[in-house]
Amino acid sequence: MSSNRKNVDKFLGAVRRRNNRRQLWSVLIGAATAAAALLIAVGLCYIVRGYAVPRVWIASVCSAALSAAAVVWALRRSNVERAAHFADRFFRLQDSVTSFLHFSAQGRREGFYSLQARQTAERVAGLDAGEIRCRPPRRLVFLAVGLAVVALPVCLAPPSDEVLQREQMERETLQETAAINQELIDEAEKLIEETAGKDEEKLIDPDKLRRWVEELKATGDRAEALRQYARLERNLQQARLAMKRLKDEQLLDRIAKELGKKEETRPLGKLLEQKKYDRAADKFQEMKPEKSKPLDERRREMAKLKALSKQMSAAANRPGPPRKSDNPSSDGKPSDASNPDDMPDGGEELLDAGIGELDGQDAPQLLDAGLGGIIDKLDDALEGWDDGGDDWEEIELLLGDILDEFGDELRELYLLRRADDRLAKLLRRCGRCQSKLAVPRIAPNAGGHKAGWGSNNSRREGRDELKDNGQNTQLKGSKGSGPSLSKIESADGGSGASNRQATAKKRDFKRQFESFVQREDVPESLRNGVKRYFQIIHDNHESAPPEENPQE
Amino acid sequence: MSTTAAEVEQAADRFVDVFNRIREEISKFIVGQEEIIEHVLLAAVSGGHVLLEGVPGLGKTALVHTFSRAVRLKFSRIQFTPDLLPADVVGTQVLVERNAGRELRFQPGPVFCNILLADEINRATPKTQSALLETMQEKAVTVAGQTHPLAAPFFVLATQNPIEQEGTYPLPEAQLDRFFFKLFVDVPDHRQFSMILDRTGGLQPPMIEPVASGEDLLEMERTLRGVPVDGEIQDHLIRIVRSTHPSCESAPAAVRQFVRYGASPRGAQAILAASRGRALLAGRYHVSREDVEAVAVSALRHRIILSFEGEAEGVRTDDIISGIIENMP
Repeated sequence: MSSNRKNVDKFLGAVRRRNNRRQLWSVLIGAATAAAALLIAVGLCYIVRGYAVPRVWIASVCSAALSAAAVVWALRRSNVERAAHFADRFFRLQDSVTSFLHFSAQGRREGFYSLQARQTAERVAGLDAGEIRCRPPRRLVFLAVGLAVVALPVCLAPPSDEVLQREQMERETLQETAAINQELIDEAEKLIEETAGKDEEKLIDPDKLRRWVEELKATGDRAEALRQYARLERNLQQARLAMKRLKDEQLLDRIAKELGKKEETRPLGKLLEQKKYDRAADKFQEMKPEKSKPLDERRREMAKLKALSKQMSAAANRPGPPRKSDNPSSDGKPSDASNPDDMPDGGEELLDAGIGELDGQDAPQLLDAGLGGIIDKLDDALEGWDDGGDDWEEIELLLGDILDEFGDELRELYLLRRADDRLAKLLRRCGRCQSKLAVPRIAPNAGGHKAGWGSNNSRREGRDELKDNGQNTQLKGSKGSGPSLSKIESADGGSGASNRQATAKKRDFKRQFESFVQREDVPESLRNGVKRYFQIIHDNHESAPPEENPQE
Repeated sequence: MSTTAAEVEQAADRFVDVFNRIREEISKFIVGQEEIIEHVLLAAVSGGHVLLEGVPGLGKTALVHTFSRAVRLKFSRIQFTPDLLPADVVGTQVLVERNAGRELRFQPGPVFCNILLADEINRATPKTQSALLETMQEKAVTVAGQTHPLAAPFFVLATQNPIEQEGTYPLPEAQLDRFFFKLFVDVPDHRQFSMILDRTGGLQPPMIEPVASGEDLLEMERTLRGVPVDGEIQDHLIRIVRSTHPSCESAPAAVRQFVRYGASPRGAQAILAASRGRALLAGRYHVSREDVEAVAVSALRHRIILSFEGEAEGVRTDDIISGIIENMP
C-alpha cells in the first residue's frame, strides 16, 4: 500500500512541476499578449494624434502585465489536489488519482479500496509526466509575438513634426510666461513698495494687486496665457476707471488755461497745466489771508484772491468751448446751449442726461460737485467781500476754510493721478507682455515652398504644393466679454471731431424727442417745455456763426 | 460480503465474466441494441426494473425473453389489456377440496416468477397497474391478509407502445419512479436489419443457452454494491439530480422554464448503482464521473415531469438532462 502511495505521490509531484511550468508559460504568454494588445491600442490613440507614446505607458503596461502574471500564476499554482485532477483529465484516468487520494485520506485500505489503490498505482506507473507539454500553445505564442512585433514600432514611433513643433512652442511659451509673470510680480511689488501712506493704499489695494499678479500661472498654452494677461489688464483698467475724476481734471485744465492768460496767475496756471496738483495746493495755501501780516498787504492779497476767484469761476462756469467755435462770448461765458442759465424749465436735467449718455457710465459727476462746488463757494464768499466791510474777519476765516478744502481736493487729485500713473505703468508692462506673447513665433519648420523651389515667375502651372508648418491656429475672442477698447476715456468737451457714434446718438435723441412731444400721457406743459428747449438749441446752433465774430 | 482484496478481486472478475457471458448470449439473438442490453443487465444486477418503450416489432419482448433464457430463471409474461384484473396478475384464493373437506388456497399469479415481462403495461387499468407496481416495490404479494414473498431475484421488464394512445392508461408519475431505467428501443439501421433477417428468417433460430443463475445475479448485486464511490463523484451525482429541480439554484434556464418537478432521490440511487456496475465492467474499482454521466439519462428521463410549457414546446427530458450534464463544472 505504501509503495502504491509512493508511486502515486511521485507521479503527482512530477505532474505538479510540469503543470506549474506549463501554467507559468501560459500565464506569461497570456500577459504578453494582453500587454502587447493594450500597448497597440494605447499607441494608436497617441499616434493618430501625432504624439509619441510616453515611455511611462510602456513601462507601466509591462510592469502591470508582469505583476498580473505573477499574481495569476501564484493563484493557479498547482497543489496535490489540483495536480490529481489535472492528471485525471490529461491522462484520462477517469478520476482514479483523485479517488485514490480521497480514499487514502479517509484511511480506506480494505477490499475494493486496496484494489483501487493498486490499480491506480499500476496505471500511473506506466505514465510519463513529461508528456505534459510545458510550452504554451503555439498559436498563442504566435499571436503574442505578432502583437509584440506590431506594438514595438507603434510604441517607439517618434512624434510628428507638427507635434514636435507644438511641444517646443509650448515649452517656449511656458518659459516666457514664467519670465513674464515674474516680471509682472516684480513690477507690482515695486509699485506696492512705492505706495507710501495709507491714503495711497486706499487707492491701490496692495493685497488685491498682489493677488492679481500671483494668480498668473506659467502655462504652455499661449491662448490661455493671453487670456490671463487680458484678465489682469481688465482688472487694472477697472481699478483705474474707479479712480478717475475726469470732470475735476477737465475743470482744472480750463482753470489752468484761464490763469495762464494773466501774468500774475500764470505760474499757478502752469502748475495746474503740468498736473502738479500738490504744489498747486501749496500755492493756494500760501494765498490764505494771515492776521500777522499788515492790513494793506492782507487787502492786496484779498483783492488778488478775488481776481483769481473770478478767473476760476469764469472757467468753472464754462464746461468747454462752444462746439462750433473755440472763442468764448465777450462776458467770458459760453454762448452755447449748455449754459444752464439759458435753458428752459426741465432742459438742464435733459442736457445732463444727454451728457451722461454720451459719456457713458464712467461720465464725471455734475458740475456743482467736487472742485466746481468749492470754486462756487469761494466765488460766493469773495463776492460779499468789500474793502471797507464790517465782516472782514469772518470772510477771512471762511476763505481759509474754503482754501483748505480746495487744497485737500487738489492733493487728493494729485494722489489719484499718481496712483493712476503707477497702475498705467503696470498696465503698459502688461500690454508689452501681451504683445511679446502675441507675436507669432518663427516655426522651426518654415511653411510655404521648400528651399530652392520658389519662383518669381508670375505664371503658375497647376496648384503649388506648399508645406504646412501647422501654424494655423487662430486666437478667437469671446463675444461680449473683456474690456472694450473703443471707449473714449477723456476728451475735451466740444473740441473733438464728431464721430459716427455721436451722429447716431443725435438721431436717436431727435427720434426720442419727436415721440416724446407727441405722447398724450405726458402733461402738456412738460411737452411744451421740451419743445421750447430743443427749439432754443436749434436757434442757437443756427445763430451761432454770427456770434463767432462779435466785433463784426 | 468479500473482505480481502483477493476475494473482492475474484468477485469483481466474476461479475464482469458473468455479465459479459449473459450479454454475449443475448447478442446471439438480439442484433445491435448494445446499450439497451447493457442497461437492462445493469438494472437486473442492481435489482431494478426496466421500462422499455418503442414501437412494435423492435424486439422488446424478444430481448426480455432471451434474457430470461440466458439466466436460467423462471419467466412469465403478462399481456396487459384493459380487462385484465389485479387477481390475474398477483393471483387469487381458490376453493379446493382436500382430504377432510374444502379449503381456500392461494393460487399464485404470473408475478410469481423471477423475470416478468409486462407487455404493453399502459393498456391495463390503473387498478391493475398499481397491483403490479406495488409488487415491484415490495417484492411480495398480499392476498386475503396473507403475504406471499416473491422469489429472488425478481425484476419486471415492462414495455409500452408510444404511438397507439387510444384506450391506454399512461402510467402515473409516482409509478414511473419505481422503474430503475426507462429505455427507448430505436429502429435498427440497415446492417442490423439485414442481420435480423438473417438470424430470424432461417429454419434454425439461434440457440440461447443459460449461462448464469439467479444466484449469480444476486451475487453480482452484492459485489456491485461494494464498489467505492469518492465523495467528489457522489457530489457530482447529487448536483446533477438536484439540477433537475426548477427550484434549485443550480438549475439551468431550460429546467426553470420547462420542468415542473425534478427527479427523486430514487433516481440518484439508480444512477449510483448503475455507475458502480459500469465501473466494474470497465475494469475499475471506483466510480468515475463518466460512469455517472453515462447512466444519468436512462435513470432520470422518466423521473422528470415537464411543465405545460415544456409539453407544448415538445421538449424532451433527455435534452434537459444532457444540458445539465454539459453545464456541470
